[in-house]
Amino acid sequence: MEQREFRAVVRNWIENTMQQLPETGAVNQVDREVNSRWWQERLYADGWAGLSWPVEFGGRGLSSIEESIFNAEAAHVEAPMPINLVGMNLAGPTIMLHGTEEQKKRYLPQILSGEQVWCQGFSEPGSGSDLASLSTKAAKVDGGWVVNGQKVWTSSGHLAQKCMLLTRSHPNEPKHKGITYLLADTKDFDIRPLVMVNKDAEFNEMFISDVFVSDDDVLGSPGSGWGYALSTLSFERGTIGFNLQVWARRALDQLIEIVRTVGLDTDVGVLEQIGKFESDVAAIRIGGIRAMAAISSGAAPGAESSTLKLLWARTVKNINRYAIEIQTSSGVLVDNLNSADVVHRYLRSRGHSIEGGTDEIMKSIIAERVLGLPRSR
Amino acid sequence: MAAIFTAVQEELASIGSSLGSDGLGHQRSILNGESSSFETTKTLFKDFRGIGIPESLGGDGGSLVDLVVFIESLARKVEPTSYIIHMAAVQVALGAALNVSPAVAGNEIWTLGLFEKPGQRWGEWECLISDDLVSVVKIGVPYAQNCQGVVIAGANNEIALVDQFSVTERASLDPSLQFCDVVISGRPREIGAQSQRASLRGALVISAELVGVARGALQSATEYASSRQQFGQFIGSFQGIAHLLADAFVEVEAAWSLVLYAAWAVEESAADAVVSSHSAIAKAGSAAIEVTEKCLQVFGGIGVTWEADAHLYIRRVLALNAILGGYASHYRLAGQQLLAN
Repeated sequence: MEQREFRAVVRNWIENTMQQLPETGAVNQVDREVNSRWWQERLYADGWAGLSWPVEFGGRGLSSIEESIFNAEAAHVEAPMPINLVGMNLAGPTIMLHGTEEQKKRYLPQILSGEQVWCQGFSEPGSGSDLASLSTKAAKVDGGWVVNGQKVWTSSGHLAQKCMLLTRSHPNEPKHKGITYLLADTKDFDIRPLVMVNKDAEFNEMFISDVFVSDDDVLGSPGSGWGYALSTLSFERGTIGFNLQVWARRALDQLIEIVRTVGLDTDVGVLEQIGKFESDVAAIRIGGIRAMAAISSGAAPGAESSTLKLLWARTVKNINRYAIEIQTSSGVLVDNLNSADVVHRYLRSRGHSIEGGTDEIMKSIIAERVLGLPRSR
Repeated sequence: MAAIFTAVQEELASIGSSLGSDGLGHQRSILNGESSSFETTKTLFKDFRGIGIPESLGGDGGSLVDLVVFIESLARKVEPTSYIIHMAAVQVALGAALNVSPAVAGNEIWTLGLFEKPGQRWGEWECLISDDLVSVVKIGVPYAQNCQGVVIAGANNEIALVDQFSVTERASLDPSLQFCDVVISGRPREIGAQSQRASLRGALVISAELVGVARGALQSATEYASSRQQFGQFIGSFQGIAHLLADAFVEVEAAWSLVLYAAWAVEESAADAVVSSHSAIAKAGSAAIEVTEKCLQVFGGIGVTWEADAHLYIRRVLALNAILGGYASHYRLAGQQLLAN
C-alpha cells in the first residue's frame, strides 16, 4: 500500500475509534488509564498493535515508516498511550534481540494483546544516574535465582504483570560485568505508588523480598545483563526521540490557543516569545529527522540524541511555564478543568529534565562523547 | 527532505572548510590595519560563484541547501570575504527573478542594501521603487565600495538591482566586513518581482555564515579547554566549563537544523517556508551571539586580550546579526506567522 493511502486508512481508523473513547476530557490518572487499556485492546483487535513486529509474533511485518505514520496520526489527535507502551517499545524489542525462541513465543504475543503489561525495573534508590552501580541482589539457587532489593521510578509498575529486572548476580565482578537481566513476574513484588508534584502516580517503588525467578526467565547469559540493558535504553531513547517533537508541538499549540483566548495575539513581547518557542520546537523536529536519517544510512545511534533530549526538556518546561504566566491570576487557578490542566502539565513537565537522564548527565555525555572533552564528574 | 548530506554536499563542506582555514590570520591582519592578500576571495569568485544557481542561468546547478552547506563550512575561521554577501545578494535577485547573469558570469560583484535607518525592522523598508527614479540612502551595506551592483529591497517587499550609487565607507567593529552608507539616486537597472521570500533567501545564506562562525568558536574553545590546565586538570573536565560548552553545542545544532530545513523549504516553496526562514534566521543570530560570548568566557583572562581570537568571532556575528536586522525581529515575525494561521 502506498504511504499516502496507508495514512488515510490510519487516520480513518483513529478518528472512528477516538469517537468511542470511554472517558472523554480525561485529566485524572484513573480515567487516562481506563482509556489506555481500552486503546490497547482496540489496537490489538483491529491489527494496529506491533505494526513493525514480525508476523510470527503477532505483528504486521511492516516497516518502521508505517509505524511512525501511525504514531504521528495518533499523536495529532491526542489519542491515548496504549497501556503496554513499555512492553511494546522496550521489553518486546529487547526480547526479540536477546531472548531465546521459547521466550519470544511465550512473551511477545501477550505484549501486543496487553494481557501482560510490562514495567522496567532499572533505577534504584542508590543508583539513579549511575545505573550500573545497582545493588538489587540475585542469588543462584537450584533452578533459578532469588532476588532481594528495591527499585524506584517504575512507570506502570502498578499495572504490570512482568518486569525487566536488572540484578547484581556476580558481586565480585566489576560493576558492568556482574549484572543479570531477568524477565520477572511482579506478583510477589510489593509495589507502592510515588505521588508526584502534580498528584499523579505514574511511577512506583518496588520492594522485592526473596522473590524466585526461574532460569527460563534469564535474558541471555547471567552476568551479561548490562549489554542487554543498553539495548533497552537505546530503544527507550529511540521511542522518546520520536515522541519528543510531538509532545513539544502539542505544548506549543496549546500555548497558542491560550494566547488567543487571553487576547495577547498581537502583543510584541508575546509574539517574540512564541517565535522563540517555535524555533526550538522546529529544531527538535528537524534534529529528530536528521538523527533518524543518519541512523538509517548506517551511522550508529550516537550521543547526539542527548542534544535533542536537552533541547526538548528546556523547551517544553518553558512553554508550559509561559502558559501559566501569560494568564496572570487565572493561570494559577485549579477550580476549572482547563486551567487545572495547564497547571497539571506545568508540574508534570518539571520532571522532563530529570527522567530518561538528567540535563546534567546529558551535558556530560555531549561534552565527553560529542565534543571529546576530558572526562568530567 | 533528504536529511543527510549528499556526496556533493559532503565535498562542498570539505572544500569550504579547507578554503576558509586561513580566515583568522587574514582577519587579524585587517584588524591591525595591515594589508591582506585575498587569494581565497579570488578563488571563491573564480571557481565557486555558481553554487546553488541553476545551470540554465549560467550557474553550477544545485540548490540553496548546497550553498548554505558550503558557506557554513567556509565561515568557521571567520573568513574575511565579500564572496558570502555577494552570494546572498545573488540569491535575493534570483528569488525576485532579476537577471543574475552579470554576477554569475563573473563580471560584477554585488551586495545587499536593505535597511534605511537605525532600528528599522526586517521587511519594513520604506523606499519606493519605480522605473524612473529611486532615491534612498541604504545603511549597513557591506563591501559596497567594491561592488558594481546593489540588490535593494523597498516598500512592499519590492526588490530591485541598482548600479548608480555613491558610497561612504563606515568603520564597523568588524573591519573585515566593511559597512557602507550607499546613496542611490537614479533609475534602477532592473525591478524584480515583489517577493517576501526573495530577501529570506539571502538572509539564510548569511545565517549559514552565522552558524559556521559559531561552530568555529566552539571548536576553538573546546580545543583550549582540552589543553589548558588548572588545579592539575584540564579545565574541560570541570563541569562548569564542560556543561557550558555542551549548551553551546545544543544551540549550534539547533540553529543548523533550522537553516538546513528552511533552505530546503524555500527552495521547494513549502507552505512553512516563511515561518521556517524567520525561525532559522532568528536562531542563527541569537545562537551565534550566545555561543561566541560563552566561548570567550572559556578562555578566561586571555579571552579578553587583543591577541586572543575570541573577539574575532564575536565581532563577526554582531556585524552579521546587524545586517539581518537583529534576531529579535525575526523571532517576532515567526510568532506573527504562527498566530496568523
